[in-house]
Amino acid sequence: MRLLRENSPFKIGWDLLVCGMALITGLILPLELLKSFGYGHALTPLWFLFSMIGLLDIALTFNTSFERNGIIVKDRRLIARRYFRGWFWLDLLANLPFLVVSGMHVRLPLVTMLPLLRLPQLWRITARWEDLQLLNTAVLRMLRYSASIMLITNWIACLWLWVGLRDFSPHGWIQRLELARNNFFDLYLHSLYWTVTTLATVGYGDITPKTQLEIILAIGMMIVGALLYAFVVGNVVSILNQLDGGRSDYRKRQSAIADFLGHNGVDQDTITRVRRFNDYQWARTRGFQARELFEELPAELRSEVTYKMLRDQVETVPLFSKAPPGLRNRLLMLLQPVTFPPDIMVLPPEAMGDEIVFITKGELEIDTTIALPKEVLCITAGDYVGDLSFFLKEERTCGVRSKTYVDAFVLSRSVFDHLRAHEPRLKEVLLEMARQQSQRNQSLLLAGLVV
Amino acid sequence: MELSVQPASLVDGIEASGLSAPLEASFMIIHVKGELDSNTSAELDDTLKQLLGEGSRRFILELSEMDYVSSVGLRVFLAHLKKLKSDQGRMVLAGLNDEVQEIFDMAGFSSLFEITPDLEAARSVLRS
Repeated sequence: MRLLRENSPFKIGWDLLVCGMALITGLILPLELLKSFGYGHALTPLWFLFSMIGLLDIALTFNTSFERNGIIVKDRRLIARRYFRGWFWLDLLANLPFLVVSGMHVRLPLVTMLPLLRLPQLWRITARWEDLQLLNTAVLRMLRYSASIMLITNWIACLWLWVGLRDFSPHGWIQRLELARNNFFDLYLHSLYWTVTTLATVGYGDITPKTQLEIILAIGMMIVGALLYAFVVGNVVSILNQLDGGRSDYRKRQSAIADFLGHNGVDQDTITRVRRFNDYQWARTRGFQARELFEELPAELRSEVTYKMLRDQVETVPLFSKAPPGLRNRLLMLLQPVTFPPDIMVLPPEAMGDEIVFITKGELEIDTTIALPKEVLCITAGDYVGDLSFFLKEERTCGVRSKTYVDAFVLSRSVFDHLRAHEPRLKEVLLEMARQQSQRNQSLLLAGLVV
Repeated sequence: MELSVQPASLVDGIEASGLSAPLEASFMIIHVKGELDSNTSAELDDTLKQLLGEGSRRFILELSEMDYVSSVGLRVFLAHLKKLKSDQGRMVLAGLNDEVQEIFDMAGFSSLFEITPDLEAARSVLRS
């Protein structure tokens, strides 16, 4: 059998199934035990199926590689040793007894409760997802808290119901409320209602503890309730803050920038343009500068990450899409990614043509009063500009202005000279691209424009 | 910059015989030396205009000794090429040095012009 990867789609789907199974076991099994003090016959196929899935999961765990300190361990002996030293016995206990006990019609509450040992899998699996970064940490934590609240509430409701069912004296809560003839589900619903109102510290008072056992349980509940809710609310607030933390920091920074600019005499219109530019950048980068972020990565991996992050944009630029992967990665590392806000001079006139701008998104316009076709003057995603003055080593006779937000890569002369000396394939790529540029350059030159 | 114009014929040996070829069987070789920049391009422009006015429609621009071409020089080439194409004429550029060739390549103009490595090759192109 081939080894599975922890993050393979099949394993993730399987883990989801195991999580669902653990949650259903945690919710239904206590009720089932309470109702019949053993496995009820109606759900026998379900428990049987769960046990089979559980045993299959044990087999799969022996055949799943794992990550330790960033290294994928594929040695089956190490995988088995790790499992035997860890969760194997708990998983076996959780899934084996049903098959044995159900066959013998044994009613041993402690043994029949063993499938609840599946519950730690909920935490194990979600912790693994967190390590593998399959889901946002905050989302996973929220899921874990939701599951915890559901399970704890359910268990307390079962306990309260157990107290009521155990005490058939006229003083027990079921008798006092004259619910003795109601069906099991109705009793459970009342019990759950009492649990939630007590845990939430609402306490309507329509179901109240009277017997000693009920009072003891209620005291315990109130203590647990206060602690549980403080814990849960605190964590949920912390998670929500975490979810919005980046944006909140960004807003504070924006406000500080606006204050600083205003204090230094910058007009409101310019401050608004700065804010809009930062908003545009924030929407794309979430405040991270990819290059700084990945500085510690080896160059090859860094360029691969950059390529994958910008793949959609990069694929529109022939310089990258026509280049072989090695050259493309070098280009990605050496060309400067820039964003221009609308209506600014991207390439100023009367300046030496020392850079070529490759556009990945947005629109630029050649700033001239000479009437030329739109396709000559407008430069959009996939086009490049500045090449004529760059290769002629002349000053631009007119500028290039941004019409919208523009994302682009800038090739400077120093980088071009460096690449030309070390990457003979660059010339081939540029030659191929130049053919698409021929018509525009011809029109510009004949109109006396050098851009 | 220095310019020299030399008439030539598409018919082999006619130049050596001292006879002049009919206009439709002849072409002009223009040797350009030095730098073709904003100051000197006008001279090439005038020369080409004059020759066009005299009815010449085939040109070889021999550029092996041209060290530099500016945007103005390129414009002269492009403008006359455009005119010649509309008049069924031809313009062949011969012997571009590496630097000038790169400008033509990178601006996307290599495919617009007929470019040959030397004068002989340019003659062959026109005779073909």
